[in-house]
Amino acid sequence: MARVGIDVGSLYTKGVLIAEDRRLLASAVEPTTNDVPGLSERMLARLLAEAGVAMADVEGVGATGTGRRRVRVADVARTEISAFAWGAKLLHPPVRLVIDAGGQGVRAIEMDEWGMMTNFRTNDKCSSGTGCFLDTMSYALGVEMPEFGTIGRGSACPSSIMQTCTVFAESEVVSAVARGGSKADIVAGLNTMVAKRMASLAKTLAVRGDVVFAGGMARNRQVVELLRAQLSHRVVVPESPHLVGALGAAILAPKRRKVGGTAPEPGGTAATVPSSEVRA
Amino acid sequence: MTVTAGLDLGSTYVKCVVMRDGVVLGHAVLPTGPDHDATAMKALSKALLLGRLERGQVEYSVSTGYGRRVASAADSTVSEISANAEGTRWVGRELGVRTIIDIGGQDTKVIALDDDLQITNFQMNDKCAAGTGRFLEALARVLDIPLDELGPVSLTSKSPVDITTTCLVFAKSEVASLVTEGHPKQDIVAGIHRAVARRLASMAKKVGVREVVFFDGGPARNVGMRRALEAELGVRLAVPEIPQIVTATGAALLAAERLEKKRSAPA
Repeated sequence: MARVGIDVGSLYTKGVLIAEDRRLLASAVEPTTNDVPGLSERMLARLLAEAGVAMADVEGVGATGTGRRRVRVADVARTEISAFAWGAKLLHPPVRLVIDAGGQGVRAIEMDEWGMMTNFRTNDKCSSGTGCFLDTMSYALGVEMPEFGTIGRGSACPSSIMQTCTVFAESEVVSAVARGGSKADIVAGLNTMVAKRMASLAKTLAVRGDVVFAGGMARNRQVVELLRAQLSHRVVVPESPHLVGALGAAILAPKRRKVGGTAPEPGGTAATVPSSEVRA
Repeated sequence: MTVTAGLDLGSTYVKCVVMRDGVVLGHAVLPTGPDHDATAMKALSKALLLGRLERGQVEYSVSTGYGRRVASAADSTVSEISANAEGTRWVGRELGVRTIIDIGGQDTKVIALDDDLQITNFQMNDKCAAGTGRFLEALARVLDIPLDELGPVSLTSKSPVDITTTCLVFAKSEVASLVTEGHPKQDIVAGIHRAVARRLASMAKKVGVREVVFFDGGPARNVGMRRALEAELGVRLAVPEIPQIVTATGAALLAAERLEKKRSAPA
């Protein structure tokens, strides 16, 4: 029996379909729209088609992310904290700390040697150092997001970014460009700032072993390198770091009680979603 | 006869006040351009023109604000906190001010004064755009309402919408969604004023709020902002006639004081 996980982030919605043995059979990424119920329904259909699995063979659908309560096709909605902890544990069992840097928030989750979550920190009040921080800068600099992890790597003197606030840092970057500052140096400076903010969030927790770095930000190679330099433990980046939350949601999906051998109608179990919400 | 000038080089506006013997003769408020010093020069010329004064008559100038160090017209500089307190002592001289709240373009300050009107404590936020003039300006743009109309529009609201995010970047998306969801604009604007007022109130509580509370800076012209802040603090606010130029006035007064000292100092 397969399971599906859908992670509705502030910027992107990620979906995975995994087999009984937890192998990844299909994945999908789409920009998050206002129509979360429709988007997640289409994503579920796409995952089923890609994996060649019938809905009747899916034992559960789990949702996570900021839009998790609006995923009507889900049997359960779990917080990003739980989802990322479980997803990271699946991909790297010795994990002791998870850093998840997404579009609108950065989270650090501390785990004990049995993989149980013992503490966590989140920053979701302030956009500084999040994906949308780099998105704003990417627009201000005219540097595409995929280039953000590469063009700064050759910089000999990364710019020091004085402003913390996304809004003020954007003005700072615009004036730096106007003064003829090198884009590579500015990007390197921004990546340094992002890595430092994540490291300082992580250091408010006990870092006792391997760190799994997940979320879209982990695709930025320079941020990964800089984070490694900041933390004294091994930093593991999964192959698809942006799918970790969706994987966790899939693992957390419950075994569905079968009614006459068929899966319930999409949305048929939505009423149980709020009560099964795990308050982190 | 002593003519002095105060220049307040803010992040968003440059303010200039020229004074003669303790009387304001001219003032100017200009949007900050890419060249802060050039804008300051223009503001000074405009204020002088209004005061029917010549550049050569200015004996001493003091600059303040975020760009104070680049003002080539200034003889010396002073911090915004000191200049604002000095300006308030003079502008609000009969009021007995004990707390000053100043919202700037990119920062917010709360200053506590003792019974001799000396600064005893202050709080400043210049790290985060939440609660600053920039917050109001950016959200006004999302709502497509001119900045000057925020106040009057908000007064027609009967049930302000709760703005749940703090960060301006997130608040922009939140306000855009509120518009899509069909909330009346006046309720959103009133909610924005309340969000700013709450941040200010929590800052003000750290220094302690004692009456009379004086409210200056550009956003003090916004009647909705004043009402929201009064509701959060539970006090009536004293708002000067031209709230934007209090700090520049303080700088001009300090210029006169420094000139006096220079004159009396042995050569």
